Order: sequence, then structure tokens, then C-alpha cells
Amino acid sequence: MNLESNHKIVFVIPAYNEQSVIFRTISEITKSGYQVICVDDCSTDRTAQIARDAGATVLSHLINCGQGAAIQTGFDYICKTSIQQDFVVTFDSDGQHSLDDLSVFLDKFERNPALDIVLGSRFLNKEFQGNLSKKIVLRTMARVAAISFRLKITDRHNGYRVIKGDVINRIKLLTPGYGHADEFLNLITKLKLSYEEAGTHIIYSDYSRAKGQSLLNGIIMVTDRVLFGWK
Amino acid sequence: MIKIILICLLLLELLFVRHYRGTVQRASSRIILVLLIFFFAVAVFFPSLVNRFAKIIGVGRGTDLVLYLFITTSAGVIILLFKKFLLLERRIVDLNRALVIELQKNRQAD
Repeated sequence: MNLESNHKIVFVIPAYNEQSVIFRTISEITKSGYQVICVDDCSTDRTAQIARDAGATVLSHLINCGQGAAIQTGFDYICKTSIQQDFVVTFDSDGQHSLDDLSVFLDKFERNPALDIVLGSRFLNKEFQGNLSKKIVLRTMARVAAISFRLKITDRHNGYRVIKGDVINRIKLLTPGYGHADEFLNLITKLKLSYEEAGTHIIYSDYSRAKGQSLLNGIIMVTDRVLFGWK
Repeated sequence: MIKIILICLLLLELLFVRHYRGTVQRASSRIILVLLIFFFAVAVFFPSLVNRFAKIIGVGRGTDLVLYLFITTSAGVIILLFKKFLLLERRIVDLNRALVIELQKNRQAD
């Protein structure tokens, strides 16, 4: 059975000021026959128009809310408009994810149909391209998350995920910003979702490196959780 | 003894803020505010009472006790305001989302 051709797959892509890369990212997906919902997080450039030209359904936030809020907008739109989907994919807009990896995710579902979500991991392929200090920081953060969320994971902040369609309506991300990645992990534990990791290849470019998460986002995430919890 | 009391107070404030959501918490925060105003009024009008209470819990002077309580209360208020700001931000995000989805649905219907 080929899950890629037999199933309806919808991509949710949050985007903020990505006009130089968004066309290539989305057109590659739409050319492969998948539907793309691009949530433009109130970009100040032409991201929304370019995403539309590339074949995506574009939802434009009226105010800048953050990546987590944009992903949840995509999920809510899917639920409220009854878009037919067997799988929903969250995918970064900056072109660092590879569409070729989708088959690895879908293989996991084929082998284990009880799975609810497959999370991308940069470390399963042992081809991590970042420098050593970045690797140490990311692996340590993943280890801390694995302990605190009681999950077997090797990557904490990978935006590439494949979620079974009927699970989407159970996911409600409250964290508007970058902390949504941790909230996904918290929801896996809380909702007792069945999960696995799939190895992904990250295509690092000067552009994606420049757009990467800063340590300051990490500080915000940690202090918010310590002080305020998830609710 | 005062150190333990202050640490417990800060931890209680943190616990309160983490679970700050419904009417019970909103009512509790107002009761705590009224009690504090009452305490500070007593401290102004009957300083000897505060001095005596301060000595019982191991603080040298009443003014020190008032200062300690003021600082811990301020910390609690700041954290609570942060939390309220986060809750408000979520409501704005929800509002924005609902509007965006409706706009898109209308656009598709046209």
C-alpha cells in the first residue's frame, strides 16, 4: 500500500516574512498533489500573495500572533471547513524541510496504524549538519524534555510532524509563540497519543540559519512554563 | 522563621498564579487584596501591634515586617499581571483566528 498516493494529505505551513523562499517551498508540495494551507502571520512583505500564487490556500492573520497560533489557525480551519484529510503535516516555510522525508513518516503509519502522530527528528539519521555546540544544546534540551514529558524523543523542536487526520480536532495549542513545540509534546502525554519519531534531513542555508530560533525564545519558553504552567 | 514564611508565601503566590483561571481565583485575589489593605492600615494606626507580631515571628522591627510583606506582595502582583497578560493575549489570538477563518470562508463562498 502506498500511503502517499492513496491518502489525502494536507500541509499546514505557518509563515512570517518569507517572501524569498515561500514560493519554492509551497510549489514543490502543490506540484506533488498535496493541499497546502499557508497561515500568513501578518507578514509585512508579499508572503501571502506569493504563497497564493504558489497554489496554497492562504489565511492571513490580522495581527502577528506567533508560529504556534498560526499552526492552530490551520488546524481550526481544517476542522471547521471539513477539508478531507487522512494526514495533516506541519512544515516549516523557510525551506529547511525535505518533502522526500514524507515517505519515512508515512512508512511509520503503514507499519503501525495505531499511531496518532509522527515527529521529525534531526538526530535519527546521524547526519546533523549544525556545529558541535548546537548539537550539544539541542540534544540536552531533548533529553530534558524526554524526562519532563516522559517521552522517548531525540529532538525537541522539529517543526516537521505528521498527524493523523482524526487527531487534529483534539489538539488545541494555547501557546502562540515558539513554545508550541513543547506544547505538542505535553499534549502527546496528556492525550495519551501514540507517537514515534522519523528521521528528517534538514537543509540548512544561510537564510534558515539567520531565521533560526534564538536562545531568547528558549528563555521565554522555560520561564513561562515554570511561572504559569500550561493553562 | 520569617525566612520560611517568606519562601512559603512566594511559593503559594506561584501556585496561585499557575492555577489562576476561574471565578474562585478572581474572588480570592480580591479577598487577599482587602486583607492586605487591612493589615497595612493596622500597621499605620497601631504600630505597636505590628512590632509585637514582628518579634513573635523573629523580625526585629514592625517596619521590616511591613517591608518584607510589601516586597513579596509586589512580586505576586507582578507575576499575576504577567499571567493576566498571557490570558488576554490568548483571547486576542482566538478572536483573530475566528475572524480570519470566517473571512476565508466568506471569500471562498463569493
